[in-house]
Amino acid sequence: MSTRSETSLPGNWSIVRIGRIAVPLIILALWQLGAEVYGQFALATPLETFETMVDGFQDGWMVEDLLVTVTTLIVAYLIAVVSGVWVGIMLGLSRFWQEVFEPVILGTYSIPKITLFPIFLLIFGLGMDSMVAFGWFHGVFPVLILTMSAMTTIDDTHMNVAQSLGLSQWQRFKEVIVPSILPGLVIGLRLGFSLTFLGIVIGEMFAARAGLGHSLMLYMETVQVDRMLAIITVLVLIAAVINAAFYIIEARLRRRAGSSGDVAAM
Amino acid sequence: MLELHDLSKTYGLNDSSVSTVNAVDGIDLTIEEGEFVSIIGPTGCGKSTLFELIGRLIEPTDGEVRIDGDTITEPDERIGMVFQDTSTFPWLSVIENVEFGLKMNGVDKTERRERAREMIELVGLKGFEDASPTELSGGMNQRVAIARTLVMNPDIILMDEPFGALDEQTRLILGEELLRIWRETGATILFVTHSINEAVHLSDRIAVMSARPGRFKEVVENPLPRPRTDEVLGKDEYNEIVNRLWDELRSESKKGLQQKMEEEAQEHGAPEGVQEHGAPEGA
Repeated sequence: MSTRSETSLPGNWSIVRIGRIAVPLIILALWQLGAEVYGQFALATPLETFETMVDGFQDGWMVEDLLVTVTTLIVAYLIAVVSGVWVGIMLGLSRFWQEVFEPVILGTYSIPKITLFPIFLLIFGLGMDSMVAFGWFHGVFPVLILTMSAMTTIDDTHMNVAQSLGLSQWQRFKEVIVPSILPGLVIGLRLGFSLTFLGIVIGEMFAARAGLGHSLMLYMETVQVDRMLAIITVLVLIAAVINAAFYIIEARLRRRAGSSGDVAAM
Repeated sequence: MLELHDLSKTYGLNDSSVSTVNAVDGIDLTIEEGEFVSIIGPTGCGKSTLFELIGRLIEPTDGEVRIDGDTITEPDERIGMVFQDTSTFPWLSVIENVEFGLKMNGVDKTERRERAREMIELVGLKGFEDASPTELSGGMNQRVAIARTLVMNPDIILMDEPFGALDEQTRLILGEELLRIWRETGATILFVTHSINEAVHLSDRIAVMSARPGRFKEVVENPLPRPRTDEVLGKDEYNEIVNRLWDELRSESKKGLQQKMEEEAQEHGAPEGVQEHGAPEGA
Protein backbone atom coordinates (compact mmCIF):
# COMPACT_ATOMS: atom_id res chain seq x y z
CA MET A 1 0.00 0.00 0.00
CA SER A 2 1.27 3.41 -0.81
CA THR A 3 0.31 6.73 0.63
CA ARG A 4 -2.07 8.99 -1.19
CA SER A 5 0.62 11.36 -2.41
CA GLU A 6 2.53 8.45 -3.91
CA THR A 7 -0.45 7.03 -5.72
CA SER A 8 -1.13 10.40 -7.30
CA LEU A 9 2.47 10.70 -8.49
CA PRO A 10 2.38 8.93 -11.87
CA GLY A 11 0.09 11.54 -13.45
CA ASN A 12 2.17 14.48 -12.19
CA TRP A 13 5.46 12.65 -12.32
CA SER A 14 6.93 14.63 -15.22
CA ILE A 15 6.03 17.94 -13.58
CA VAL A 16 7.53 16.77 -10.29
CA ARG A 17 10.67 15.77 -12.09
CA ILE A 18 10.98 19.14 -13.81
CA GLY A 19 10.47 20.80 -10.43
CA ARG A 20 13.16 18.70 -8.82
CA ILE A 21 15.65 19.76 -11.45
CA ALA A 22 14.49 23.39 -11.50
CA VAL A 23 14.85 24.05 -7.77
CA PRO A 24 18.64 23.52 -7.60
CA LEU A 25 19.05 25.54 -10.79
CA ILE A 26 17.13 28.45 -9.26
CA ILE A 27 19.31 28.25 -6.16
CA LEU A 28 22.43 28.37 -8.34
CA ALA A 29 21.03 31.36 -10.20
CA LEU A 30 20.30 33.19 -6.93
CA TRP A 31 23.80 32.36 -5.73
CA GLN A 32 25.27 33.82 -8.94
CA LEU A 33 23.09 36.91 -8.51
CA GLY A 34 24.15 37.27 -4.87
CA ALA A 35 27.81 37.02 -5.79
CA GLU A 36 27.39 39.82 -8.30
CA VAL A 37 25.48 42.04 -5.89
CA TYR A 38 27.60 41.55 -2.76
CA GLY A 39 30.93 41.15 -4.52
CA GLN A 40 33.91 38.98 -3.82
CA PHE A 41 34.24 39.95 -0.16
CA ALA A 42 31.10 38.01 0.78
CA LEU A 43 30.32 35.53 -1.95
CA ALA A 44 32.29 33.81 -4.70
CA THR A 45 30.38 32.75 -7.81
CA PRO A 46 29.31 29.10 -8.16
CA LEU A 47 31.93 28.56 -10.86
CA GLU A 48 34.77 30.06 -8.77
CA THR A 49 33.65 27.97 -5.83
CA PHE A 50 33.66 24.83 -7.94
CA GLU A 51 37.17 25.58 -9.25
CA THR A 52 38.44 26.27 -5.75
CA MET A 53 36.89 23.03 -4.53
CA VAL A 54 38.57 21.00 -7.28
CA ASP A 55 41.80 22.80 -6.45
CA GLY A 56 41.28 21.89 -2.79
CA PHE A 57 41.48 18.23 -3.73
CA GLN A 58 44.19 18.55 -6.40
CA ASP A 59 46.40 20.91 -4.46
CA GLY A 60 45.40 19.19 -1.25
CA TRP A 61 44.65 22.17 1.02
CA MET A 62 41.27 20.69 1.87
CA VAL A 63 42.13 16.99 2.08
CA GLU A 64 43.54 16.94 5.59
CA ASP A 65 40.62 18.90 7.07
CA LEU A 66 38.19 16.68 5.23
CA LEU A 67 39.83 13.54 6.62
CA VAL A 68 39.72 14.93 10.16
CA THR A 69 36.05 15.85 9.91
CA VAL A 70 34.99 12.62 8.20
CA THR A 71 36.92 10.47 10.68
CA THR A 72 35.41 12.35 13.61
CA LEU A 73 31.98 12.00 12.04
CA ILE A 74 32.29 8.25 11.47
CA VAL A 75 33.55 7.55 14.98
CA ALA A 76 31.02 9.80 16.72
CA TYR A 77 28.15 8.50 14.60
CA LEU A 78 29.00 4.85 15.20
CA ILE A 79 29.10 5.41 18.94
CA ALA A 80 25.82 7.35 18.78
CA VAL A 81 24.12 4.61 16.78
CA VAL A 82 25.31 1.72 18.92
CA SER A 83 24.59 3.43 22.24
CA GLY A 84 21.31 5.01 21.09
CA VAL A 85 19.88 1.84 19.58
CA TRP A 86 20.99 -0.30 22.50
CA VAL A 87 19.65 1.97 25.23
CA GLY A 88 16.49 2.63 23.16
CA ILE A 89 15.73 -1.08 22.90
CA MET A 90 16.50 -1.71 26.56
CA LEU A 91 14.23 1.14 27.67
CA GLY A 92 11.60 0.10 25.13
CA LEU A 93 11.49 -3.38 26.61
CA SER A 94 10.62 -2.08 30.06
CA ARG A 95 7.66 0.19 30.58
CA PHE A 96 8.96 1.11 34.02
CA TRP A 97 12.41 2.32 32.94
CA GLN A 98 10.97 4.04 29.91
CA GLU A 99 8.64 6.08 32.09
CA VAL A 100 11.47 6.92 34.50
CA PHE A 101 13.89 8.08 31.81
CA GLU A 102 11.64 9.55 29.14
CA PRO A 103 11.25 13.03 30.69
CA VAL A 104 15.02 13.35 31.20
CA ILE A 105 15.78 12.20 27.67
CA LEU A 106 13.18 14.43 26.03
CA GLY A 107 14.28 17.31 28.23
CA THR A 108 17.94 16.95 27.34
CA TYR A 109 17.00 16.59 23.68
CA SER A 110 15.22 19.93 23.74
CA ILE A 111 18.03 22.05 25.24
CA PRO A 112 20.39 23.85 22.85
CA LYS A 113 23.24 21.43 23.28
CA ILE A 114 25.88 23.91 22.20
CA THR A 115 25.53 25.53 25.63
CA LEU A 116 27.15 22.43 27.13
CA PHE A 117 30.03 22.47 24.64
CA PRO A 118 32.42 24.31 27.00
CA ILE A 119 32.11 21.42 29.45
CA PHE A 120 33.13 18.96 26.73
CA LEU A 121 36.08 21.19 25.87
CA LEU A 122 37.26 21.35 29.47
CA ILE A 123 36.97 17.60 29.91
CA PHE A 124 38.24 16.35 26.56
CA GLY A 125 40.54 19.19 25.48
CA LEU A 126 40.85 20.96 22.16
CA GLY A 127 41.43 17.88 20.00
CA MET A 128 39.39 15.25 18.22
CA ASP A 129 38.21 13.64 21.48
CA SER A 130 35.98 16.51 22.41
CA MET A 131 34.61 16.70 18.84
CA VAL A 132 33.73 13.00 18.94
CA ALA A 133 32.19 13.33 22.39
CA PHE A 134 30.18 16.42 21.47
CA GLY A 135 29.13 14.96 18.10
CA TRP A 136 27.88 11.86 19.92
CA PHE A 137 26.01 13.94 22.48
CA HIS A 138 24.47 16.08 19.75
CA GLY A 139 23.33 13.12 17.65
CA VAL A 140 22.47 10.31 20.03
CA PHE A 141 19.07 11.61 21.13
CA PRO A 142 16.99 11.15 17.99
CA VAL A 143 18.45 7.65 17.60
CA LEU A 144 17.54 6.84 21.19
CA ILE A 145 14.12 8.49 21.16
CA LEU A 146 12.96 7.05 17.84
CA THR A 147 14.22 3.57 18.72
CA MET A 148 12.36 3.79 22.00
CA SER A 149 9.15 4.99 20.35
CA ALA A 150 9.46 2.38 17.60
CA MET A 151 9.59 -0.27 20.34
CA THR A 152 6.10 0.76 21.40
CA THR A 153 4.78 0.09 17.88
CA ILE A 154 5.63 -3.60 18.06
CA ASP A 155 2.43 -5.55 17.54
CA ASP A 156 1.50 -7.67 20.59
CA THR A 157 -0.03 -10.27 18.29
CA HIS A 158 3.33 -10.63 16.51
CA MET A 159 5.01 -11.27 19.83
CA ASN A 160 2.31 -13.82 20.70
CA VAL A 161 2.90 -15.58 17.39
CA ALA A 162 6.62 -15.70 18.16
CA GLN A 163 5.92 -17.11 21.60
CA SER A 164 3.44 -19.71 20.36
CA LEU A 165 5.94 -20.88 17.75
CA GLY A 166 8.47 -21.38 20.52
CA LEU A 167 11.03 -18.79 19.40
CA SER A 168 14.05 -18.25 21.63
CA GLN A 169 14.77 -14.81 23.11
CA TRP A 170 17.39 -14.16 20.44
CA GLN A 171 15.09 -15.32 17.63
CA ARG A 172 12.34 -13.06 18.92
CA PHE A 173 14.74 -10.14 18.92
CA LYS A 174 16.23 -10.83 15.50
CA GLU A 175 13.15 -12.04 13.63
CA VAL A 176 10.35 -10.00 15.17
CA ILE A 177 11.59 -7.01 17.18
CA VAL A 178 14.22 -5.79 14.72
CA PRO A 179 12.04 -5.93 11.59
CA SER A 180 9.18 -4.31 13.52
CA ILE A 181 11.20 -1.32 14.66
CA LEU A 182 13.31 -0.93 11.51
CA PRO A 183 11.19 1.75 9.79
CA GLY A 184 11.25 3.99 12.89
CA LEU A 185 14.85 3.13 13.59
CA VAL A 186 15.99 4.28 10.15
CA ILE A 187 14.34 7.68 10.65
CA GLY A 188 16.22 7.93 13.94
CA LEU A 189 19.46 7.01 12.21
CA ARG A 190 18.93 9.68 9.57
CA LEU A 191 18.12 12.42 12.10
CA GLY A 192 20.96 11.20 14.30
CA PHE A 193 23.35 11.52 11.39
CA SER A 194 22.30 15.10 10.61
CA LEU A 195 22.65 16.15 14.24
CA THR A 196 25.97 14.37 14.81
CA PHE A 197 27.31 16.09 11.71
CA LEU A 198 25.94 19.44 12.87
CA GLY A 199 27.46 18.99 16.32
CA ILE A 200 30.87 18.23 14.91
CA VAL A 201 30.92 21.14 12.46
CA ILE A 202 29.72 23.56 15.15
CA GLY A 203 32.33 22.20 17.54
CA GLU A 204 35.06 22.63 14.95
CA MET A 205 33.93 26.17 14.15
CA PHE A 206 33.84 27.06 17.81
CA ALA A 207 37.05 25.56 19.11
CA ALA A 208 39.28 23.14 17.27
CA ARG A 209 42.69 22.96 15.69
CA ALA A 210 41.65 21.10 12.56
CA GLY A 211 38.68 20.02 10.49
CA LEU A 212 36.47 21.63 7.88
CA GLY A 213 34.59 23.71 10.48
CA HIS A 214 37.84 25.11 11.81
CA SER A 215 39.12 26.06 8.34
CA LEU A 216 35.76 27.52 7.46
CA MET A 217 36.13 30.09 10.24
CA LEU A 218 39.79 30.65 9.37
CA TYR A 219 38.98 31.47 5.74
CA MET A 220 36.12 33.70 6.81
CA GLU A 221 38.41 35.70 9.08
CA THR A 222 41.07 35.98 6.37
CA VAL A 223 38.41 36.78 3.76
CA GLN A 224 39.26 33.86 1.46
CA VAL A 225 35.68 33.72 0.35
CA ASP A 226 36.21 31.22 -2.46
CA ARG A 227 37.79 28.68 -0.08
CA MET A 228 35.10 29.31 2.51
CA LEU A 229 32.40 28.57 -0.03
CA ALA A 230 34.27 25.53 -1.31
CA ILE A 231 34.22 24.08 2.21
CA ILE A 232 30.54 24.88 2.63
CA THR A 233 29.83 23.11 -0.67
CA VAL A 234 31.71 20.01 0.42
CA LEU A 235 29.79 19.92 3.73
CA VAL A 236 26.49 20.32 1.91
CA LEU A 237 27.40 17.54 -0.51
CA ILE A 238 28.28 15.12 2.28
CA ALA A 239 24.99 15.83 4.06
CA ALA A 240 22.97 15.59 0.84
CA VAL A 241 24.45 12.28 -0.29
CA ILE A 242 23.96 10.59 3.08
CA ASN A 243 20.44 11.95 3.42
CA ALA A 244 19.51 10.76 -0.05
CA ALA A 245 20.78 7.29 0.83
CA PHE A 246 18.60 7.27 3.95
CA TYR A 247 15.55 8.39 2.00
CA ILE A 248 16.03 5.55 -0.47
CA ILE A 249 16.28 3.02 2.38
CA GLU A 250 13.23 4.48 4.09
CA ALA A 251 11.16 4.37 0.90
CA ARG A 252 12.14 0.75 0.39
CA LEU A 253 11.19 -0.17 3.95
CA ARG A 254 7.88 1.62 3.58
CA ARG A 255 7.10 -0.30 0.43
CA ARG A 256 8.00 -3.55 2.14
CA ALA A 257 6.12 -2.91 5.35
CA GLY A 258 3.06 -1.28 3.81
CA SER A 259 1.42 1.59 5.62
CA SER A 260 2.70 0.39 9.01
CA GLY A 261 6.05 1.89 8.03
CA ASP A 262 5.09 5.47 8.81
CA VAL A 263 6.30 5.82 12.33
CA ALA A 264 7.15 9.43 12.76
CA ALA A 265 7.29 12.34 10.42
CA MET A 266 10.03 14.26 12.15
CA MET B 1 -6.50 -35.66 23.80
CA LEU B 2 -6.56 -32.20 25.32
CA GLU B 3 -7.57 -31.84 28.94
CA LEU B 4 -8.23 -28.62 30.77
CA HIS B 5 -8.24 -29.21 34.46
CA ASP B 6 -9.55 -26.56 36.88
CA LEU B 7 -7.92 -23.86 34.75
CA SER B 8 -8.08 -20.45 36.45
CA LYS B 9 -6.57 -17.04 35.94
CA THR B 10 -6.74 -14.08 38.25
CA TYR B 11 -5.11 -10.84 37.14
CA GLY B 12 -3.54 -8.35 39.45
CA LEU B 13 -2.40 -10.67 42.22
CA ASN B 14 1.34 -10.06 41.95
CA ASP B 15 1.56 -6.45 40.86
CA SER B 16 0.50 -3.35 42.69
CA SER B 17 -2.93 -3.08 41.06
CA VAL B 18 -5.72 -1.77 43.16
CA SER B 19 -8.10 -4.55 42.26
CA THR B 20 -7.86 -8.14 41.12
CA VAL B 21 -9.89 -9.53 38.27
CA ASN B 22 -10.97 -13.12 38.19
CA ALA B 23 -10.94 -13.65 34.42
CA VAL B 24 -11.28 -17.41 34.16
CA ASP B 25 -12.33 -19.68 36.98
CA GLY B 26 -12.18 -23.45 37.24
CA ILE B 27 -12.46 -24.50 33.60
CA ASP B 28 -12.74 -28.26 33.05
CA LEU B 29 -12.98 -29.76 29.58
CA THR B 30 -11.78 -32.86 27.80
CA ILE B 31 -11.48 -32.75 24.04
CA GLU B 32 -11.03 -35.98 22.12
CA GLU B 33 -8.65 -36.37 19.25
CA GLY B 34 -10.08 -35.05 16.00
CA GLU B 35 -12.94 -33.25 17.70
CA PHE B 36 -14.11 -29.77 16.76
CA VAL B 37 -15.16 -27.86 19.87
CA SER B 38 -16.29 -24.23 20.00
CA ILE B 39 -16.32 -21.93 22.97
CA ILE B 40 -18.90 -19.15 22.91
CA GLY B 41 -19.45 -16.49 25.50
CA PRO B 42 -20.34 -12.85 26.04
CA THR B 43 -17.84 -10.03 25.55
CA GLY B 44 -15.30 -9.79 28.30
CA CYS B 45 -16.00 -13.28 29.64
CA GLY B 46 -12.39 -14.38 29.46
CA LYS B 47 -12.53 -16.30 26.18
CA SER B 48 -9.25 -14.84 25.02
CA THR B 49 -7.67 -15.38 28.41
CA LEU B 50 -8.67 -19.03 28.18
CA PHE B 51 -7.19 -19.20 24.67
CA GLU B 52 -3.90 -17.78 25.92
CA LEU B 53 -3.91 -20.10 28.92
CA ILE B 54 -4.31 -23.20 26.78
CA GLY B 55 -1.57 -22.02 24.41
CA ARG B 56 0.55 -21.33 27.48
CA LEU B 57 1.22 -17.75 26.45
CA ILE B 58 0.27 -16.87 30.01
CA GLU B 59 0.63 -18.80 33.25
CA PRO B 60 -2.54 -20.03 34.92
CA THR B 61 -3.09 -19.01 38.53
CA ASP B 62 -4.41 -22.47 39.14
CA GLY B 63 -5.05 -25.72 37.29
CA GLU B 64 -3.32 -27.29 34.32
CA VAL B 65 -3.43 -28.14 30.63
CA ARG B 66 -2.64 -31.71 29.61
CA ILE B 67 -1.99 -33.14 26.20
CA ASP B 68 -2.24 -36.94 26.01
CA GLY B 69 -1.74 -37.05 29.74
CA ASP B 70 1.34 -34.82 30.11
CA THR B 71 1.04 -31.43 31.72
CA ILE B 72 2.46 -28.63 29.58
CA THR B 73 4.32 -25.74 31.11
CA GLU B 74 5.39 -23.75 28.03
CA PRO B 75 4.12 -23.22 24.46
CA ASP B 76 3.95 -26.72 23.06
CA GLU B 77 4.69 -27.71 19.48
CA ARG B 78 1.65 -29.98 19.49
CA ILE B 79 -0.52 -26.89 19.80
CA GLY B 80 -0.90 -24.39 16.96
CA MET B 81 -2.50 -20.99 17.50
CA VAL B 82 -4.43 -18.74 15.12
CA PHE B 83 -5.05 -15.25 16.41
CA GLN B 84 -7.94 -12.86 16.01
CA ASP B 85 -6.04 -9.85 14.72
CA THR B 86 -3.94 -9.79 11.62
CA SER B 87 -0.87 -11.63 12.73
CA THR B 88 1.06 -12.04 9.50
CA PHE B 89 4.44 -10.33 9.41
CA PRO B 90 4.23 -7.47 6.91
CA TRP B 91 7.98 -7.57 6.26
CA LEU B 92 7.82 -11.14 4.94
CA SER B 93 6.16 -12.50 1.80
CA VAL B 94 3.28 -14.98 2.04
CA ILE B 95 5.52 -18.01 1.66
CA GLU B 96 8.09 -16.62 4.09
CA ASN B 97 5.31 -16.12 6.63
CA VAL B 98 4.09 -19.67 6.18
CA GLU B 99 7.53 -21.23 6.49
CA PHE B 100 8.52 -18.96 9.40
CA GLY B 101 7.99 -21.52 12.17
CA LEU B 102 9.84 -24.22 10.26
CA LYS B 103 12.75 -21.88 9.62
CA MET B 104 12.96 -21.03 13.32
CA ASN B 105 13.07 -24.73 14.06
CA GLY B 106 15.99 -25.25 11.71
CA VAL B 107 14.20 -27.09 8.90
CA ASP B 108 16.29 -26.77 5.73
CA LYS B 109 15.18 -24.50 2.95
CA THR B 110 14.09 -27.04 0.30
CA GLU B 111 11.97 -28.96 2.74
CA ARG B 112 10.33 -25.97 4.36
CA ARG B 113 9.58 -24.37 0.96
CA GLU B 114 7.93 -27.56 -0.16
CA ARG B 115 5.82 -27.91 2.97
CA ALA B 116 4.90 -24.21 2.90
CA ARG B 117 3.78 -24.53 -0.74
CA GLU B 118 1.56 -27.49 0.16
CA MET B 119 -0.09 -25.54 2.96
CA ILE B 120 -0.54 -22.45 0.80
CA GLU B 121 -2.35 -24.66 -1.70
CA LEU B 122 -4.43 -26.23 1.08
CA VAL B 123 -5.69 -22.84 2.24
CA GLY B 124 -6.41 -21.77 -1.32
CA LEU B 125 -3.69 -19.18 -1.80
CA LYS B 126 -1.82 -20.79 -4.68
CA GLY B 127 -0.32 -18.08 -6.83
CA PHE B 128 0.09 -15.64 -3.93
CA GLU B 129 3.34 -17.15 -2.59
CA ASP B 130 5.43 -14.07 -3.26
CA ALA B 131 2.78 -11.45 -2.48
CA SER B 132 3.15 -9.21 0.55
CA PRO B 133 0.51 -9.62 3.27
CA THR B 134 -0.05 -5.87 3.06
CA GLU B 135 -1.46 -6.36 -0.45
CA LEU B 136 -3.93 -9.02 0.72
CA SER B 137 -7.40 -8.68 2.26
CA GLY B 138 -8.15 -9.53 5.88
CA GLY B 139 -9.59 -12.91 4.90
CA MET B 140 -6.55 -13.79 2.84
CA ASN B 141 -4.29 -12.76 5.72
CA GLN B 142 -6.17 -15.17 7.97
CA ARG B 143 -5.62 -17.89 5.38
CA VAL B 144 -1.90 -17.15 5.57
CA ALA B 145 -2.05 -17.30 9.38
CA ILE B 146 -3.87 -20.64 9.22
CA ALA B 147 -1.29 -22.02 6.77
CA ARG B 148 1.50 -20.81 9.05
CA THR B 149 -0.05 -22.78 11.90
CA LEU B 150 -0.85 -25.88 9.82
CA VAL B 151 2.66 -26.16 8.42
CA MET B 152 3.92 -26.98 11.92
CA ASN B 153 1.66 -30.03 11.80
CA PRO B 154 0.04 -29.47 15.20
CA ASP B 155 -2.25 -32.08 16.79
CA ILE B 156 -4.42 -29.36 18.25
CA ILE B 157 -5.32 -26.04 16.66
CA LEU B 158 -6.52 -23.21 18.88
CA MET B 159 -8.36 -20.42 17.12
CA ASP B 160 -9.36 -17.17 18.80
CA GLU B 161 -12.21 -15.63 16.78
CA PRO B 162 -10.12 -16.06 13.64
CA PHE B 163 -12.88 -14.73 11.40
CA GLY B 164 -14.13 -12.12 13.86
CA ALA B 165 -12.90 -9.15 11.88
CA LEU B 166 -14.21 -10.37 8.53
CA ASP B 167 -17.44 -9.69 6.70
CA GLU B 168 -20.27 -12.22 6.79
CA GLN B 169 -19.69 -13.81 3.36
CA THR B 170 -15.94 -14.21 3.86
CA ARG B 171 -16.68 -15.65 7.26
CA LEU B 172 -19.01 -18.30 5.84
CA ILE B 173 -16.62 -19.25 3.08
CA LEU B 174 -13.63 -19.48 5.41
CA GLY B 175 -15.71 -21.51 7.86
CA GLU B 176 -16.46 -24.06 5.17
CA GLU B 177 -12.83 -24.14 4.11
CA LEU B 178 -11.82 -24.67 7.71
CA LEU B 179 -14.07 -27.74 7.87
CA ARG B 180 -12.44 -29.10 4.72
CA ILE B 181 -8.97 -28.48 6.18
CA TRP B 182 -10.05 -30.07 9.44
CA ARG B 183 -11.18 -33.22 7.55
CA GLU B 184 -8.01 -33.35 5.50
CA THR B 185 -5.62 -32.89 8.42
CA GLY B 186 -7.54 -34.76 11.12
CA ALA B 187 -6.48 -32.13 13.67
CA THR B 188 -8.34 -31.36 16.88
CA ILE B 189 -9.77 -27.85 16.78
CA LEU B 190 -10.73 -25.60 19.67
CA PHE B 191 -12.50 -22.59 18.25
CA VAL B 192 -13.31 -19.46 20.23
CA THR B 193 -16.09 -17.33 18.81
CA HIS B 194 -18.86 -14.97 19.84
CA SER B 195 -21.12 -16.10 17.00
CA ILE B 196 -23.68 -18.78 17.87
CA ASN B 197 -24.31 -19.53 14.20
CA GLU B 198 -20.64 -20.01 13.51
CA ALA B 199 -20.29 -22.35 16.49
CA VAL B 200 -23.31 -24.42 15.44
CA HIS B 201 -22.19 -24.48 11.84
CA LEU B 202 -18.71 -25.76 12.61
CA SER B 203 -18.50 -27.78 15.80
CA ASP B 204 -19.23 -31.15 17.37
CA ARG B 205 -19.65 -29.65 20.81
CA ILE B 206 -20.18 -26.12 22.03
CA ALA B 207 -19.09 -24.86 25.44
CA VAL B 208 -21.04 -21.85 26.69
CA MET B 209 -19.09 -19.53 28.96
CA SER B 210 -20.61 -17.39 31.67
CA ALA B 211 -19.88 -13.70 32.20
CA ARG B 212 -16.86 -12.95 34.38
CA PRO B 213 -15.54 -14.92 36.16
CA GLY B 214 -15.54 -17.13 33.05
CA ARG B 215 -16.82 -20.61 33.76
CA PHE B 216 -18.42 -23.21 31.52
CA LYS B 217 -22.12 -22.86 32.05
CA GLU B 218 -22.86 -25.83 29.87
CA VAL B 219 -21.26 -27.97 27.18
CA VAL B 220 -23.79 -28.76 24.45
CA GLU B 221 -23.58 -31.66 21.99
CA ASN B 222 -24.36 -30.51 18.49
CA PRO B 223 -26.94 -32.94 17.08
CA LEU B 224 -26.60 -31.76 13.48
CA PRO B 225 -25.17 -34.40 11.12
CA ARG B 226 -22.22 -33.69 8.86
CA PRO B 227 -21.72 -32.49 6.22
CA ARG B 228 -23.60 -29.40 7.26
CA THR B 229 -25.31 -28.79 3.96
CA ASP B 230 -27.88 -26.07 3.39
CA GLU B 231 -30.51 -28.74 3.88
CA VAL B 232 -29.16 -29.66 7.31
CA LEU B 233 -28.88 -26.02 8.29
CA GLY B 234 -32.47 -25.45 7.15
CA LYS B 235 -33.92 -28.04 9.52
CA ASP B 236 -35.79 -27.35 12.74
CA GLU B 237 -32.97 -28.96 14.68
CA TYR B 238 -30.70 -26.12 13.63
CA ASN B 239 -33.08 -23.50 14.93
CA GLU B 240 -33.62 -25.49 18.10
CA ILE B 241 -29.97 -25.61 19.01
CA VAL B 242 -29.38 -21.98 18.06
CA ASN B 243 -32.30 -20.95 20.26
CA ARG B 244 -31.14 -23.12 23.10
CA LEU B 245 -27.66 -21.64 23.00
CA TRP B 246 -29.07 -18.15 22.82
CA ASP B 247 -31.20 -18.86 25.88
CA GLU B 248 -28.07 -19.92 27.73
CA LEU B 249 -26.14 -16.95 26.52
CA ARG B 250 -28.68 -14.18 26.86
CA SER B 251 -28.51 -13.64 30.61
CA GLU B 252 -24.71 -13.92 30.54
CA SER B 253 -24.44 -11.39 27.73
CA LYS B 254 -26.52 -8.95 29.73
CA LYS B 255 -24.34 -9.49 32.77
CA GLY B 256 -21.24 -9.05 30.62
CA LEU B 257 -22.50 -5.80 29.17
CA GLN B 258 -23.38 -4.49 32.59
CA GLN B 259 -19.90 -5.35 33.90
CA LYS B 260 -18.40 -3.52 30.97
CA MET B 261 -20.50 -0.43 31.53
CA GLU B 262 -19.72 -0.38 35.23
CA GLU B 263 -16.02 -0.64 34.48
CA GLU B 264 -16.19 2.20 32.00
CA ALA B 265 -18.11 4.35 34.44
CA GLN B 266 -15.45 3.64 37.04
CA GLU B 267 -12.65 4.49 34.64
CA HIS B 268 -14.18 7.79 33.67
CA GLY B 269 -14.92 8.67 37.26
CA ALA B 270 -11.48 7.62 38.48
CA PRO B 271 -8.67 10.18 38.96
CA GLU B 272 -6.07 10.45 36.23
CA GLY B 273 -3.54 7.72 35.88
CA VAL B 274 -5.62 5.03 37.50
CA GLN B 275 -6.89 3.67 34.20
CA GLU B 276 -3.51 2.29 33.32
CA HIS B 277 -3.37 0.17 36.40
CA GLY B 278 -6.99 -0.79 36.35
CA ALA B 279 -8.56 -4.00 35.23
CA PRO B 280 -6.89 -5.76 32.33
CA GLU B 281 -9.24 -6.90 29.63
CA GLY B 282 -10.99 -10.13 30.27
CA ALA B 283 -11.41 -10.83 26.57
